[in-house]
Amino acid sequence: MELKTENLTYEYESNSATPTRAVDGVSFVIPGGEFLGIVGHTGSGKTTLVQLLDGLLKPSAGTVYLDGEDINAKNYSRKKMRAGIGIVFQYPEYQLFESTILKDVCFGPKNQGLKDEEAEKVAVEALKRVGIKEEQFELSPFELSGGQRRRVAIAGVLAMQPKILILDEPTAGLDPAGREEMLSLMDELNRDGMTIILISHSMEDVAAHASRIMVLDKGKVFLDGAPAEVFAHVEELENIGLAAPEAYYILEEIRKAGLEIETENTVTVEDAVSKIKKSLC
Amino acid sequence: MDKMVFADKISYDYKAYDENGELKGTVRALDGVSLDIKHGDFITILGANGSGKSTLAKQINALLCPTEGTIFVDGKDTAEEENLLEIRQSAGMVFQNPDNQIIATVVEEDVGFGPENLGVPTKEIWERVEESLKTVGMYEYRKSSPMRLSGGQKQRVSIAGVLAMHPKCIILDEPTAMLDPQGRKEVIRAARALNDVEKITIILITHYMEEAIYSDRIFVMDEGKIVMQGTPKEIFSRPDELTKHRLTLPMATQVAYRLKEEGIPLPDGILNRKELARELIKIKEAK
Amino acid sequence: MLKDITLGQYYRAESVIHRLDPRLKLVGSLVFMVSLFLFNNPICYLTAAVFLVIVIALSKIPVKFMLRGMKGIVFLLLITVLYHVLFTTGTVIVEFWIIHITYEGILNALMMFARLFMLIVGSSILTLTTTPTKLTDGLESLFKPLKIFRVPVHEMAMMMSIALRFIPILMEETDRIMKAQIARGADLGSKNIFVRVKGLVPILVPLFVSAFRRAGDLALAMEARCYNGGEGRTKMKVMHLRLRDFISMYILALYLGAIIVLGIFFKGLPAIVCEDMQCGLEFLIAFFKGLKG
Repeated sequence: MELKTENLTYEYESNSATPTRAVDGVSFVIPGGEFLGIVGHTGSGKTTLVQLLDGLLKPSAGTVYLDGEDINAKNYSRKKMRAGIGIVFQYPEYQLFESTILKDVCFGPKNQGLKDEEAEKVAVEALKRVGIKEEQFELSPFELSGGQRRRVAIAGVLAMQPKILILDEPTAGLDPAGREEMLSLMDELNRDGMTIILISHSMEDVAAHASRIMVLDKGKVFLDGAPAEVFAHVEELENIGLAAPEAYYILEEIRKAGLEIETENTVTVEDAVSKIKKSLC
Repeated sequence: MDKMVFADKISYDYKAYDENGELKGTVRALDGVSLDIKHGDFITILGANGSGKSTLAKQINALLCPTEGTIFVDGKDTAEEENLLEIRQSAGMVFQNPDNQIIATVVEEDVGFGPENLGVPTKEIWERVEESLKTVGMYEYRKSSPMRLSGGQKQRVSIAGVLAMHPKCIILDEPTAMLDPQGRKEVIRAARALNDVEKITIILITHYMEEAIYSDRIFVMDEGKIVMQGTPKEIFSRPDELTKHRLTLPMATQVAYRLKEEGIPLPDGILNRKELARELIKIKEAK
Repeated sequence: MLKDITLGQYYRAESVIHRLDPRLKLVGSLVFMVSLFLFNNPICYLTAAVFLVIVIALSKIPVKFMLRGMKGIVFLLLITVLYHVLFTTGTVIVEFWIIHITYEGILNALMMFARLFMLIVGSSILTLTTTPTKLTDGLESLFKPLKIFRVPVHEMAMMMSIALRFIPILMEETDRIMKAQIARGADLGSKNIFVRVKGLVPILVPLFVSAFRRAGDLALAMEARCYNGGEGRTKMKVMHLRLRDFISMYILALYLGAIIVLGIFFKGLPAIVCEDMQCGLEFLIAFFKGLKG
């Protein structure tokens, strides 16, 4: 499923006389099956952009196309769109409301019009997918740990069987192992053909998992390309308050200390290790 | 006693209730923890989600009292009711969620809240508020609404709010968990400055490894127990143990560790990129 | 959106009105409201309007910002105006079916409009120029005498100021939860009332849970900062009446006096205005007839 935007713009009223543009003339194509990382510092328009992509906000100008169809067109079916795109908000564990985990995950599929048994079937599948055990299905969401609750919330979106999954800071507040588990879940989903759009503050996470990175600044697309391409623009990134992944700075430090080393295209720890080895031999 | 915090085998049980409000049982959140923290130290407590580190933090501030064992803060037993206010004044606490700890609608009024509670005279409150906001670099925002501040700025206001109570020790309970990288840097910088300049004891609770490398001592917690303790060098020389406790290594240490696996003779416990660069140059020169 | 309501929103500016003692502003707002209800007389409304315009000008609040907060009550104003136009008895101008429009009705409607409009603008000046904290401090101080009747004045003031602090946060939270549930296919716009009420559950439950969690966090944070109720507390911002407050008090008294004097002196004015309106209208009709002829 292809997601495309054309000149997408969103303005909101603020205290100043002119409306603020949170998203400003953004155009891009996300082909099916991609793992896209969106980075940008707080207030760069990331959250607004994904809400536009999911039809939760109406654009002030421009269009969002899902498989070539305008999702804001009058006769376009919302149900069809929801089946296409799923969105996981920041701290999604706070949106759980049912008395049991299973019932909560069934909420989405039931809204899509599935019968009880069918909804339960997809819910069970989604819960297993995120690593919740069967004996926990009848527990109240409040009996789980924070990390598990977040998985249940993600299952609630997965159960709607979207082709495109948007996640806003899904690793926020998790411990290192929890972060790793969450990221590998995304890798798995992506391997099964799902488009993943990951919003993150962590350059390291995005660098290690995404196949394409989009950098937003002041509502505009600032850089867009493969991780190595994007992180080649270290200076520009630093100018807008972002940074390259730590691995790059490690090599840069080594180079400054006087060791001859190639620092370009350093994105992950493994990149750094292989380059240091090469320069030592 | 010249210990900032001294805990002797403290345990803490949370009570769990069922739907009808009847006691179902207890959950042990702390299990025989002993701590010994000197005045002026910078301490980091590392631990995965649910390892009991927040429960431990609340013991130091006397928000919770141990079910077993005793804990002394600045020489005072937290179990004694009459020590409560003094303990809370000398060991201030900053929490995780920046929105849920700012009480007032104007920055300076929030910083003044603590001193007001302590009964500090009005004129002195103003002096303390000014001084605290300047220390964390938020003085120019004194008239702002907290709603308009970034996460990092809000946390610095919270630190100022504690600072205005003139504490000897500040406990920061995952102050950076909800912040972006920029905000994280701001908060850690502020905490380090307080330790360096004002000699305030800092107890930082976090699960970001990078934030721990500057501390004097690290305690690692898991399942309510302290499972590792030592200097950052010692702790980060034991990667396998850290992984077992759902933690990891700082980036530079990870690179060094991987290089060692590949046969490059690097020493243990490299903490930052400067050290790594220095060691690599040494190796290159030896060749 | 709920955010558009100016009532209860502080507008930051440096002005005399902002600096006035909150207790004085509270009493002043009360006096102004009372003054609007003392007499139903055009000249009193005119005086009040002049007074209000001066205060607004002094407060440095942009008129646009103030009027934005009025959007929510346009409907209420319209209903009031219609009611008075349609249901006031007196000299009839137009009559059809069961509707009589009278001179008295038009005048009444205009006066009611003025009264309500000024009432809301007047009270919003209080909240626009006073931080919620100062407002609660003012209320606490004014109600202090009630302490002897064991009214927990300090606690109530504290609750109020915390509520004010958390309203915007909870509003943002509501927005976020709503969007999350809509994204999961929740039907919030349904015409069927039962479906709609049921649709609120996925929003209200998380909202309550979140509100309680925040309350718990906040209570801990307050306790950690040695909060122990009102006993033994000092105040960072102590309220002193200054020269400007005494001057304002004097002006306020003058204003109230003026309203009373004018109200009594021009008691017959509404009737005269109606007559004048009648004469004016008749003159106009005659004039246009003359033009035609």
